[in-house]
Amino acid sequence: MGGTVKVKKGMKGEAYKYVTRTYAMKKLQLNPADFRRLCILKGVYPQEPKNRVKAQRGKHGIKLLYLRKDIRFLMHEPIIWKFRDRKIKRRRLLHAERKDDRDKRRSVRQFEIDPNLDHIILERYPTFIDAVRDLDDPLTTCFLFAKLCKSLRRKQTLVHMSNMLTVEFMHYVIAARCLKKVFISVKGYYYQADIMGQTVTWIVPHPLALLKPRGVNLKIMRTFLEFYIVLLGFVNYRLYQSLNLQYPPRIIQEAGDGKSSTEIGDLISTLNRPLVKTKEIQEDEVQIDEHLMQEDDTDETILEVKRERDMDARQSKLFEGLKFFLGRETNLESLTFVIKACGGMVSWDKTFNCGSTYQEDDQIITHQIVDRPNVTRKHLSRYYVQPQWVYDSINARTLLPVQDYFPGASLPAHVSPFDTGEDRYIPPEKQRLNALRSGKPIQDASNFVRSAEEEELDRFDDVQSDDEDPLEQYQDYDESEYYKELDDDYEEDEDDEKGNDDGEKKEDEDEEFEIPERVNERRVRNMAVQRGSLFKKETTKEEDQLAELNLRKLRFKTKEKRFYEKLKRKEKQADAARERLAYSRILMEKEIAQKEATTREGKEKHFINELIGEDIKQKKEMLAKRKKERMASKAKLKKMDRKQIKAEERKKKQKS
Amino acid sequence: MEEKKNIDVLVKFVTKQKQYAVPGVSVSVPADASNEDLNEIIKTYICQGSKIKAADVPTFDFIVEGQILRRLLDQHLQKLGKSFENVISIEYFERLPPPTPKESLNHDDWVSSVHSTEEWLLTGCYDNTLHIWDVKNLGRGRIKDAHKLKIPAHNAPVKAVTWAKTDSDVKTFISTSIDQSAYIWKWDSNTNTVDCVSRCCGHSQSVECVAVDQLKGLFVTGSWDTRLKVWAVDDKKQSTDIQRDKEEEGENKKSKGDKVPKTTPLLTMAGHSETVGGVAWTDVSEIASASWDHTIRIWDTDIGGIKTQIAGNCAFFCISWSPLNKTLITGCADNYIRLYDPRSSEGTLCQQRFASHTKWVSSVSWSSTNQFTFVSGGYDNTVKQWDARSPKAPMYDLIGHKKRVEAVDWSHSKYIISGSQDCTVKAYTAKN
Repeated sequence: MGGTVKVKKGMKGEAYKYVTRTYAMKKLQLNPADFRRLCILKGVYPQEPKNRVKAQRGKHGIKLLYLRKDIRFLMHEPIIWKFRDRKIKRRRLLHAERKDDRDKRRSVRQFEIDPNLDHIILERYPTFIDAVRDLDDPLTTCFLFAKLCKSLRRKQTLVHMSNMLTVEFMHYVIAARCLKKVFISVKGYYYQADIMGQTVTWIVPHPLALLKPRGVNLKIMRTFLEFYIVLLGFVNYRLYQSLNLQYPPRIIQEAGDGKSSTEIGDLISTLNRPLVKTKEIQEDEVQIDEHLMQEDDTDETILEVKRERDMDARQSKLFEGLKFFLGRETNLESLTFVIKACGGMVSWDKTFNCGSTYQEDDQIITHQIVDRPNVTRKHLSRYYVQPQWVYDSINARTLLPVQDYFPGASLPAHVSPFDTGEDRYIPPEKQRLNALRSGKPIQDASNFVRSAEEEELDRFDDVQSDDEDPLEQYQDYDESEYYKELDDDYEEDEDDEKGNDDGEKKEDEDEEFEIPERVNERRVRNMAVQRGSLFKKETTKEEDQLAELNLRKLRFKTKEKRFYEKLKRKEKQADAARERLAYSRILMEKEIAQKEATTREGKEKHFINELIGEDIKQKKEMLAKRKKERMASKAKLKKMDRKQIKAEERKKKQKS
Repeated sequence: MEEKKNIDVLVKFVTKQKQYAVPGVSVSVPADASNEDLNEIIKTYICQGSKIKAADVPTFDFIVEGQILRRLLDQHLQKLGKSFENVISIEYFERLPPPTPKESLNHDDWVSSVHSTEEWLLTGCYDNTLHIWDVKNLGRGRIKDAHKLKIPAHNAPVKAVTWAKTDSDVKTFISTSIDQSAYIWKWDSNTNTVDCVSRCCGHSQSVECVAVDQLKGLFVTGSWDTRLKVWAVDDKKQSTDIQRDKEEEGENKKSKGDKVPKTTPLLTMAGHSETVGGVAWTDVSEIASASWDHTIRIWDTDIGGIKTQIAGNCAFFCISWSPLNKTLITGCADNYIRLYDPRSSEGTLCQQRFASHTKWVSSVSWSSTNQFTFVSGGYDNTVKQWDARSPKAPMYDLIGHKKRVEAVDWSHSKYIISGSQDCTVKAYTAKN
């Protein structure tokens, strides 16, 4: 009996694909709170159906719909059992309380339910890069909860944990020097870092007392926080391992410090301390880059990539050698983090907060950051600037001129660095910045770093240094000089290496091949011992090219890759054509040579070559004479020809 | 540059070898002093102070700021970022004499593994055989005299060998192979007869490495199937079983042939996601394993699980642990040798990185007597002898192999032995 099998109504298509929230809760045997918790932890969210009428099976109103597949996936989650255990525990506790049975209450309380979320992390983020890509929300949430004021602390441990994890993360950013952009808005401080090739953006609230916001269910937020804390713990562990550091990081403490605890917790005091490192071991990638930098390239896209990389490197060393002193009115935490992440040194007044490293009267302070209109400039050897200068400089990736940021000055607009749309309106500040970046000399930290001699001079002769206007120095500094200095550095480095080689060679000569001189024992062939030589990375040209190619490939985005490949193909074609041309040229030349040998002139040349050693002059004269004669005869012939032609022409004319 | 040459540095010479001690006064030395210059200075000092003749004074190596001086003094200080103005304390010690070539032993195929005891040398070969050599006869007379025994052991190339019990005349050793099994052997050194004790079955792919613990009762194997398995060298219970089996099978022996009894692992530890390249016992119940999945894991055999994990940046091929300094060295796929200290809980993970090999480092081995020295063999056909305090330059390059070095061994303090893909085992005498 043929015919189609009839499917029951509601067992197929859109209607079957979606289930309502009530159905899902019933199916999972969970109450709304636990269901919500589970959904947050597993990352399952209600879905918008294509056809709501069908999906809701004709019911009125708008219902929360989940995919049936998702709910089925949730059913296998072991954490549901933890929820049930917790429910039972609560019930038993209540029961014991009602009966006033203290022993039972104690025993029930001792039974701890530990909701372990590790497996969910692994499930949701199968690779580490996935987790880093999704780091924006966890960081923002953790930073928010770390700032919560005490009255709001629902659960002390969560706030404490989020505080610790965020500090650890900030320490990572400082150690890895990967901060890229900062922006201050009403919402808070936006930071952007480049972590393992992923851009991670997070927001830190302003350091103001937070009141409990209306309309925010903190229970839901807490569920998110619990999940994010576990995630951030794992991420921090991997990040520190990638820096070759042990994970629970330790902070180097100084002897005279007021606080002796090594525990990370107090933000500022720890941020200003370096992490414990036993040895600096640089990774290889950096070396390859440097190696490539020395080669000169003409390809424009590659040049751009190189420029970008240089800028990155410069940004991470933007404040290197600079010493900052922060005023009491500034945001210590943010400024410390930002300046340290770009290589600068920071301190503040000892009485203001713990963790200060040097005092205000330190002569080597280059910048003092103040945020009030009138400051009595006590020290002439440093710039007094407003905090915005720091943030703007980081976004501009150069040290901006300080004049615009002097205390009391009306500040230029703080333009968002995140807006990269080029077709849209570009504010004049940004235009100016672009012009500055492309055309004008780039200010670098190096002109602030003074040599030891200068410092000593300063110490002895304070007045003299005070007389000089630092601004003038700043402006006099020429770009070309700066590059010259750079070049000199390079040369010196090369010299050093050469020197090394020489030293080693001498050593080698003395000790090369020490072969034992013993009569009894057989001398072994083809074996020798040599004094080990200093390691120097040797790369062949082919390897270099390969490495460079790989690097270039990495540097290009997928969009540009196609273009780049096209370019490469064209280049190859051009190369092939050039080769062909060169080959044909060689062939031509060969032919010409052969022809020459057969022609008369060729023979003459040959003749001359043979006669070298004899009386060449005579022969040459002879030859010249002969040539002249021949030329003369030729000319005569030609004349004759012309005469003949002319005569013929005349004849023709006459005939006509 | 010319001005630089005139700079002098104040140094203070210190030594732990009392016979060569010099007065502890700070001396000014030109900044660009080389190793030889410092040697000259020390020599004159020693000759002035005592009766030792100039000819008898050995050459010294100098440790400046924790690293052995291998370039000019100023360059060394510059590289380490140390100031020239302080008094620099330089420790000196007698330079290790260079090892000397001793013997080259030919095999029929690639040599994958070597291990030596005080008397005997065991090598595993890619033609499925094991060889036992007499260490005493190395470099004396003909090579044939040194060769004791050839054992056609496996059905596939041998990957790793190790001696287990070597106290009595009957010695135990273990060999593993690509045929997914490890064999336990008993060899009588007097009669020169070998007996296969048991065949260890359990791995599902090639068994890459093997290590015996300090008490010689257990051994661990690491395999291409990413698992580690712990076995007993001789399980009493099992041996009785075997006897019973033998009695039972006594009648059918001829028909069945003499089948080797099988053993099963005591413990299996899974966790690595790639081939396990090397294993080492770091304690009575602690194993360190190096894997191609960029991690070193430390396992506890009591728990039967992982204890800690050290993440690296590249695949690890081999691992060696020294009971003298309790640290691990590993050979890596990025041509470096890395030193890890499993005990440290803060600071950097990788304590030191040794650079000199130009290709993969396939094997490393600590010295059994000196806590600072180790040897390494790489795919760049060289064996290198290192001092842990000199990360940029090896002490000596041992040249001789024509193809990739597969295995090195320094468990006999006097011999550095290396096996290679050029089908030879080369032995060098090391002096202490």
